Amino acid sequence: MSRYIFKRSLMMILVILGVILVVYAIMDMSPIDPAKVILGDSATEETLAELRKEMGLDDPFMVRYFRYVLNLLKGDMGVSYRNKVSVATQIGDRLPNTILLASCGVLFSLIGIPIGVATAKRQYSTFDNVTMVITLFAAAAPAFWYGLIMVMIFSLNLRWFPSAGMGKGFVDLARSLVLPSITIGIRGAANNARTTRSSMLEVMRQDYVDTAKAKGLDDRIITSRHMLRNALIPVVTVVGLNFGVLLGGSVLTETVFSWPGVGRFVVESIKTQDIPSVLGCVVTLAIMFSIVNLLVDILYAFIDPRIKAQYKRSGVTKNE
Amino acid sequence: MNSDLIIKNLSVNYQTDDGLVYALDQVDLLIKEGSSHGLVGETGAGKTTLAKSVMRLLPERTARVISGEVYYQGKDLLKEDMAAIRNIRGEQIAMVFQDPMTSLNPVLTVGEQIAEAIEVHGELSKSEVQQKVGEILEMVGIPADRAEEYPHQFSGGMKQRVVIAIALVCNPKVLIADEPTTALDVTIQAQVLETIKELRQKLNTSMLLITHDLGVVAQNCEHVSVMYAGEIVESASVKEIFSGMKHPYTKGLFNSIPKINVNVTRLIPISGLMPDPTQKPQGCKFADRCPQMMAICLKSKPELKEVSPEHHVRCYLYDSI
Repeated sequence: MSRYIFKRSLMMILVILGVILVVYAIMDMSPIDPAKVILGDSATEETLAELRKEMGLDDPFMVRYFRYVLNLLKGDMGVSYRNKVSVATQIGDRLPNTILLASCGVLFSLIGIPIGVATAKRQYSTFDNVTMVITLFAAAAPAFWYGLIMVMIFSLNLRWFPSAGMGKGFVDLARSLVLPSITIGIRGAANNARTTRSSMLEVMRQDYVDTAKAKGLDDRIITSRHMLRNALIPVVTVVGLNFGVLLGGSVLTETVFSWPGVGRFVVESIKTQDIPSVLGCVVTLAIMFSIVNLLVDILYAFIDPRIKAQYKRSGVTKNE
Repeated sequence: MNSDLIIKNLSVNYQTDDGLVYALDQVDLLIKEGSSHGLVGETGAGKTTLAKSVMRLLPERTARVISGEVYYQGKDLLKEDMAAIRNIRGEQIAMVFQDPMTSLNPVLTVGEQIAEAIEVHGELSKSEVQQKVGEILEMVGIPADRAEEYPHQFSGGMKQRVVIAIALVCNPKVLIADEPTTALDVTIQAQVLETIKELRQKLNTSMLLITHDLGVVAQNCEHVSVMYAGEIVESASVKEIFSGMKHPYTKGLFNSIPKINVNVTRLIPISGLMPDPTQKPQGCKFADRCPQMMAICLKSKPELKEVSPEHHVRCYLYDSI
């Protein structure tokens, strides 16, 4: 098992190096001239050339790429063109906020699992049909639309929650988290409900459910011990992917709610052509996404012993 | 109390997209305490539906019990509420399913799955439960320390032993075995049946053995009922069936298995197929395939008649007896 994790971690590093290469190449191909961004349009050709040389921008692409990766290993993501502050520091300030919001969003999305179980147990009932129509709408509407609607109802009209910003202190923080968390979590909740429902319907037909019934077990125990644990495997995949997406993709929600997270930082950086910041954000999010993916794969092993056995085998054959 | 299982006049329909499927048609069956009863028939004859009716495991949405009673210890199982049924399941009447590959939960250890059956029917301490799990595993021929393993670590025959262990761990009075060996290869079949036999003798459990293998019935049962298209067409002691079978369908069944002492180059299959289960023919359901069909067979349905004590047959050929 630990061998499997080790192997996966090595692969993860390769993936991240690849992501950096691609992003770095795209940035390099953009018509943005860093020297011009720093010195402004009024700078002369000579001062621009001098700055380019000083920053090493004239070096070949691969040299610059490896320099970036080496600096990255030291935790150095360069300095923002905009305000001369270290990119790593700026991301470090914002990343916890994004992780907090994404985690709350994912937690909220978990309400889809009991909903999925309840609808599967009453397949084709009115409750099932109505719920499935609602989840279809919920999954189809874009996140920022929920944000705007919720701000209108709960902040402007009812004044229950703040409409923007991140509160200080536990109570204010919790209050300011409610609307953005629901906004980024609601589509996940809808997807979780639909995935759980179809997965449960699949599991309910399995013979081992009849075996469990024939033992004289209570319906609740059959649902939780026998059905849900088996039905949860595809759901874990969906939740994990959703978490990965939320870590990097809550740009719209963070903008609507003025949430001081990485998503908003990316947008600002793109607007100001701040290449090191954009690069730093993308790399950070790629790393986060890879880690979440790895965690999901490890989680499988705890749900399904067959996958655990598979991991063990794959670890052994590779390393011995 | 007497633990006979008495099935009376049981009719079950399935509502499907293709219409109403008549799965069981007025089935009567008696399984005496401690005895072993074979139920033989082709695929689709309604054997599994019969077993699931007794266990109240029929799919709720599609299956309808039209008529009939299933008496056990003075109670009609079809009328009891689910709480009472849960007490009977596993403890009084247990079931072994057809395919051991799918009848165990892949995410729980076999020990956990056996322990569950014990815990639900009695207040035992954890160590007592573990001890019982070990005992029953040893009884079905699996080392007790394998309780920690998951189903995917067992072979098919071993899995079926685990399923048998689950079924018998609470000493049920009745065991319903629904083609317990169909999914296993021949050498393993014999072992599994031997295991069931030994345990039944120890625990004095009666058994309803569902199979399409007449050899299995001959070795394991005292009585046998032959089922065709949802009906019992012949019912007798095993001895009598093998020496003096009456119904043309039963004869057809026997002709379609090879005999070691007769030199035949070809087996004689029963020509034709079972009737469409969504149609209810006016006459005998076997008439279309019957080599001895008479005019009356198409007009009205024969009743189950006694040809000798404990030997019943549903055929006009024996009307005069």
